[in-house]
Amino acid sequence: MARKRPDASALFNKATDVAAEIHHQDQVVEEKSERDRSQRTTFLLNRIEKRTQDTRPVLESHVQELVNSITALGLIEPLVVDQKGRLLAGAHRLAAISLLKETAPEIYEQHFSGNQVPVRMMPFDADMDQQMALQVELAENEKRVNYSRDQIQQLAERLRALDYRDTKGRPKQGEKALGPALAVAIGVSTRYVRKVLSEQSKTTVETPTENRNSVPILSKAKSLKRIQKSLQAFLELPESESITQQEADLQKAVADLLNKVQASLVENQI
Amino acid sequence: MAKQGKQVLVIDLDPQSNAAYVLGTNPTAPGTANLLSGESPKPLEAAPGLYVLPGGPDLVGYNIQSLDPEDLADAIKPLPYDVVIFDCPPGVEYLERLGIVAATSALVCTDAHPLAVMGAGRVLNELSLRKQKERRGPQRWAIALSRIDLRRSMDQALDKQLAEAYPETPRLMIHQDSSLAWAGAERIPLVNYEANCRGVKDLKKVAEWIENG
Repeated sequence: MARKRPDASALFNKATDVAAEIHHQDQVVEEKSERDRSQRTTFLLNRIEKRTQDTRPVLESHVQELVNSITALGLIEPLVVDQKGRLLAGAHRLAAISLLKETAPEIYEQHFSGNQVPVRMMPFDADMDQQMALQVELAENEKRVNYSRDQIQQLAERLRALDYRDTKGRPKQGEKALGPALAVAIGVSTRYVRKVLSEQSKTTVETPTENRNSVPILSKAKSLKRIQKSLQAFLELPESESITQQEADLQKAVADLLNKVQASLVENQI
Repeated sequence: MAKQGKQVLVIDLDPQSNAAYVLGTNPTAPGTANLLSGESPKPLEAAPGLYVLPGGPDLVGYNIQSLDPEDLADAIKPLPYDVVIFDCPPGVEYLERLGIVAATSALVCTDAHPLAVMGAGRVLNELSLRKQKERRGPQRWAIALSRIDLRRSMDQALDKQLAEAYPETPRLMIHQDSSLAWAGAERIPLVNYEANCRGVKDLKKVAEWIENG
């Protein structure tokens, strides 16, 4: 016997009611997605809107330096954008990324796969709040993240692995200078980078693999030589005709001491 | 619409690339996900004047999920077409929203089954809400009742129930038609498959509503 069919309209009504409930859940999900988007850490390169007004012009030489740095290290400092992807800070970095895409697409793809560029998204709309946008830009220009000495040294190691060299002055043709590249990457002066790296190399001298006594031996030898010279000078002074017993004793003691100093210098092969 | 001389682009938002498949183009070619990633994929020609950007599994990637809902609308602005059709997969909230936000008119499709009615109801509620909040998206929409055979009691009840539940929304009926089913299965655009079938007549009415309301 055939099953009795229920009223189709009632079934559709039930479905419509459930649709309203699911739509309510949709809205909750949408709100969450919107919140998540405001905390995103990457943005499509061609969707990042350049600033219409720039507080400082883009320097081509700096852009080229940044291209070299990004090629070696990737983008260390994310660009700063507003909720709509309008650039707030990082015009040079953005120009460098675009230039890298044009000139070295393979390297660009390595660092910015799928055109995703690291950003820090600020939770406001720059068009609505231009004052805030300017503040962010200025703050970004003045202040940068402070890198610890260890972090700077680690970055230097990575650059050395990519044939960057510590050179003083201007790099020769074809040579890649480590100091300036690192300075550009982390936004500090080349001088500061060199200072940190030279402190690192001094530390290396004092590691246990080196002769820990080499410095004391050298200074001891210097002192002995100085004493030797003084003692010889003293003994070469013309003798007075009437010499006291005290002076005679002193002369003998000096001569003995000179012998001991010379013996010590010979022993230490100095 | 393409047959009437318009340049038509179908943007397939389905991770399974069904629109590209049924129109006879390569469903795995670069398509909508590439467009949304800032690239310029070349739309595939399905028939004179009819082009497709395939969907595909890349549409479910994190990059696409984290897009702003207005990104598709912005990406299609410079494209040189008279009509752009977004084929949205059912129930994938973020893909559906990209299509909704980019569209000026919407067709909400359902057949005579409560599950399809439930899915359509969600979209209809979303469309009303967006319009009410004056957000970017369609200002007009209609329900397309598909695969309808009025000899069946469920199909008879569907039209009546939708009229009651959504009295302001126009309803367009696409009847059960074997040519329509076969054209899709054989991957030939329907007008080229059988120009005078019932499906073509029904779809012409849909095109008319889109153009003239």
